[in-house]
Amino acid sequence: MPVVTFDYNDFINLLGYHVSKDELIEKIPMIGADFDRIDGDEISIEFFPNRPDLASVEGIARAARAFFSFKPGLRKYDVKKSSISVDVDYSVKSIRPFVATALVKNLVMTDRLIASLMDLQEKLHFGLGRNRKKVAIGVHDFEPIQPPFKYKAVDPDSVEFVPLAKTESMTLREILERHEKGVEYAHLLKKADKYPLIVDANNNVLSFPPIINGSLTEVTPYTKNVFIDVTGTDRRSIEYALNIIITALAERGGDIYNTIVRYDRESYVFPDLTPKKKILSTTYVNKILGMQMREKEIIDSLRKMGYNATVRKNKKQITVEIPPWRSDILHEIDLVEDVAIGYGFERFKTDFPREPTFGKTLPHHDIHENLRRIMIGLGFNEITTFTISNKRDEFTKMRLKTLPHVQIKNPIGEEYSCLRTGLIPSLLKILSENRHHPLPQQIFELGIVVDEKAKNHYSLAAVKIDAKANFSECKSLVEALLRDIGVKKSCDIREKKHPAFIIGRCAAIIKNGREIGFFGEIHPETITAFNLSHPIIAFEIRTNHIIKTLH
Amino acid sequence: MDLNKTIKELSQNEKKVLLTLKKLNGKGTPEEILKNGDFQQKVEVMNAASWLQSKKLIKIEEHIKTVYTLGPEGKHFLEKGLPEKRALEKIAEKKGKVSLRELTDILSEHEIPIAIGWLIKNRWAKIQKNHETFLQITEEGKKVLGKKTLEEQILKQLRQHPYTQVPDEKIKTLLSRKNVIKKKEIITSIISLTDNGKKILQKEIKLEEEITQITSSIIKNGEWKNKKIRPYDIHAFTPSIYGGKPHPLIELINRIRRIFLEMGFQEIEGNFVESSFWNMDVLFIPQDHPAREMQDTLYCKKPSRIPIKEKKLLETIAMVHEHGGNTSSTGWQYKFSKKEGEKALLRTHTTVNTIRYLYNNPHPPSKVFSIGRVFRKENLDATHLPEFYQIEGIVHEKNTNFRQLIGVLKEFYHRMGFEKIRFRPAYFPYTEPSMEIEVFWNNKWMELGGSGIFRPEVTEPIGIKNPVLAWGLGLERLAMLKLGLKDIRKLYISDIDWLRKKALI
Repeated sequence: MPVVTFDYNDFINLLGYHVSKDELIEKIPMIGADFDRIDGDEISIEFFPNRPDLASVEGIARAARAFFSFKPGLRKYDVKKSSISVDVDYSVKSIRPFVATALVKNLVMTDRLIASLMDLQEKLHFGLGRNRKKVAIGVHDFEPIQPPFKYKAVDPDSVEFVPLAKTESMTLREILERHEKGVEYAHLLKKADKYPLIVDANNNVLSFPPIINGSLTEVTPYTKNVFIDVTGTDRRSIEYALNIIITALAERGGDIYNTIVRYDRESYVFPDLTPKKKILSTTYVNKILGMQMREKEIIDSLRKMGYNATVRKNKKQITVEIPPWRSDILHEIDLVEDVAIGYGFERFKTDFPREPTFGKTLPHHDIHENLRRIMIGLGFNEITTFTISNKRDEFTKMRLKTLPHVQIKNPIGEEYSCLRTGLIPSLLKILSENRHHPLPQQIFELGIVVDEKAKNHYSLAAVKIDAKANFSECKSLVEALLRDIGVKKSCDIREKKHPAFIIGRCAAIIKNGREIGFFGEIHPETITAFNLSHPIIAFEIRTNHIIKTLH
Repeated sequence: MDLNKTIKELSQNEKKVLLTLKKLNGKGTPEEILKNGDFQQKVEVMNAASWLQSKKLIKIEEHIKTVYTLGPEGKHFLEKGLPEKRALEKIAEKKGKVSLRELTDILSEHEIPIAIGWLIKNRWAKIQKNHETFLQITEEGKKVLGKKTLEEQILKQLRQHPYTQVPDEKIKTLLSRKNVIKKKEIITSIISLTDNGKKILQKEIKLEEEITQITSSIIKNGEWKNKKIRPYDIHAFTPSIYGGKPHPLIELINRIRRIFLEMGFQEIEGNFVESSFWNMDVLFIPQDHPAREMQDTLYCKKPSRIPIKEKKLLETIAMVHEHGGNTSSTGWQYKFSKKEGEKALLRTHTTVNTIRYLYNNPHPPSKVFSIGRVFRKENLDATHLPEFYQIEGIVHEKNTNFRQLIGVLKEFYHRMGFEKIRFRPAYFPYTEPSMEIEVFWNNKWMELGGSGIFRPEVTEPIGIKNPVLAWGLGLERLAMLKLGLKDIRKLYISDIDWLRKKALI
């Protein structure tokens, strides 16, 4: 989860009220974030990915102000009018159709604010913006540019400008080929033959979304007024991103000015900080939470979570005003959760399910338990191993031709690139890890293997490594197991050739004409392949075959 | 120390060692005890001695002793005589004076310089030079004629008693000669009685025949009636035995299983390989959610797709994702891709089992659980695994609620042995409200799992009309707490020594 790191004193300044560090650390997780760590005055919290409005210290301070009951309810921001406009050219429609903009004036820019702003921008790009695909944000020094602005798509070679972090002028194509950010995000424009661009009245480039801004509008400690553009593929998301950024700047004392975005036929005014309204039913809240909360209590809880809420006349319903930076309210249920958080999880009394149900194990449970007990009784240590394995261990070392099996497309490494089809290689790997311990060693696993049709099966396997291990002992063990599980009399043993076993020292276990397992002495080449050097006996039995025959 | 009890517990050999030591005035080497006691082999003496030492009746001290024996030259000299002695005899034979040339009759070429060197050094002869070099006997030389020198005596002694000690000053000159003497350091044990040992010997120690190991014939022929059966020192060391044992993680799983069974839950399971549709889409995880990306989820190359058989459900889920469908949700507002849903993956949670169970069993009440492996694209290290267990459960009844969720989970963790449990807000795409569960352990709050009520966007499309309580708890972290493990890998790549010695929990 994303982590926001901030300075305690900076936070207290933003909050406008005093809260001790300890209290802060204790209470912040109860809003819906994880406390990560504290280092002197530096505090780090992990915020939940559905709450990008908490991705900055400004947003956290705003939420805390309501949650700690200093100023409950919806935080309102003034939006002043401006005549700044952005014309959207039809050419962007198939590439990156939406744009929203705003101006924030009279900021006292500090290095800390620049860092915090860039950090917020990156977090919004990553989460809400799905790595800039859905949302990309440009923050500009407003001084050197002249409205009206134009958002259009242009030929990659037709425009050149000096991008951030460079001193030379580059064409859009060159940026994608050579600029670090261009190379990183070029895939987002792979399908486009024209590239999006925002320019001012004098054709100066503000930004080349979603790649990079022009260096002309770089924000510096001398910047007072910033212009923000947010472009993307999802109208809702870009608006939330814009609202989150500008209200964070307003928390820093900036004045928000609106702008007009003009499409061919319609135009929109951004930002629109009018809260959306949702009706919340008291009955629904109480049903989900198992409470008998009255409207007043629900409203108080919502106000602690930064909402405004009022009771509807003569109805057990509440009108909730949702802050325009809350992108996570999809359904009434999301408000119910915030009622619970605002009320305080620690205040809920426990209750229990009412309707009787009966406990029941899986059908194979008892037989599996018996198999385990028998193996332990025979002196074997139980182990449990990974089902993810690799071709080399499963087939090559077992001297088998590669059989069909489930393969992983994006493995963490060769070592973990397929699912196992048998247990014996897993057991041999464990013996190999325990080479330095005294012999004999005898281990077993009752585990899951996966067939080529991607279906799970239970299998039981055991191995023993000992200076004197031999086929006779192995046969005795298998017969003991079959006897104790009650199927020995109906099982036959037939000669088997398995490449991982020595010829003439391997047998199949046959039940009703079907092979249910095999056993014998492991081939020296397999022993060596697993870095071992003593005789090994092994058996493996598909337990569902036993179960089927028992039932 | 109860000397009488100690006497009773003495074995036959132990008694013999004590009695022999008494004969040897309280001190002796194992060899001496072997010779003077009634023993067959030295190992009997040593075994008994080490038991006696552990009973604090004797002391075994080890000494390093330097011993000598004849080297190849030494043997040769002993046979033929020392070169200087042979030269001296020749000189005497030739009336007190020989030329060097004449010595070649009796000495080999390499012996001549040795002989001259020692003749001069011992002052047995002097060198005279005329046209030739002569050796002239001295008075000292005359004295040793016909007598055995010290060196000759020692050589002879070492032939008779090889590997014995010789005082340093006596062997010094022989040692300075090449290949004459071999030196060896041997460790010898001196066994001596302690004060307790002496006290015990003042009492009566009878060497009566006693039974050490009871045998079938002793039982049958009644020999045990007439003989003493030797008691054991119950505190004496005995070797470790390791039997077969269940694996601690499986034992923990069984304990968790039992708790859920006792609480009225039914166990379910499912396959590792699943479609993205069942693993993600049905759970309202948007198709562009970061967790669905290749760096977090393990997708399959073979099989790469799993067709969705539930066509109607597929349509419903697509609508719920796009605009909420009939759920009064806004949905995620994007274009749902059916192809994306067919992608085969290794299940990232066992919630895929529970949701399918609910789809097939939409009527309340039901309480089900599963404890199964799930897969994430994580590199293996001390705290991360690519494959681990999830403890999954749901409660579905007409009027389930958030407080019941708290109740059920508290009950579960109480039964797992945790006193203090708390809940914090959390976020999961498919539950609302969501909770994180923490237990207080070793003075710290530890996160153990996520829980919540399934979102309406999850339950309504599969035909569930009531809230469903759900949780997915971690097993390995719980195991680490319960087993005191620092490295999570130990659970799956187990050290046999650890398994052998670990107490069952």
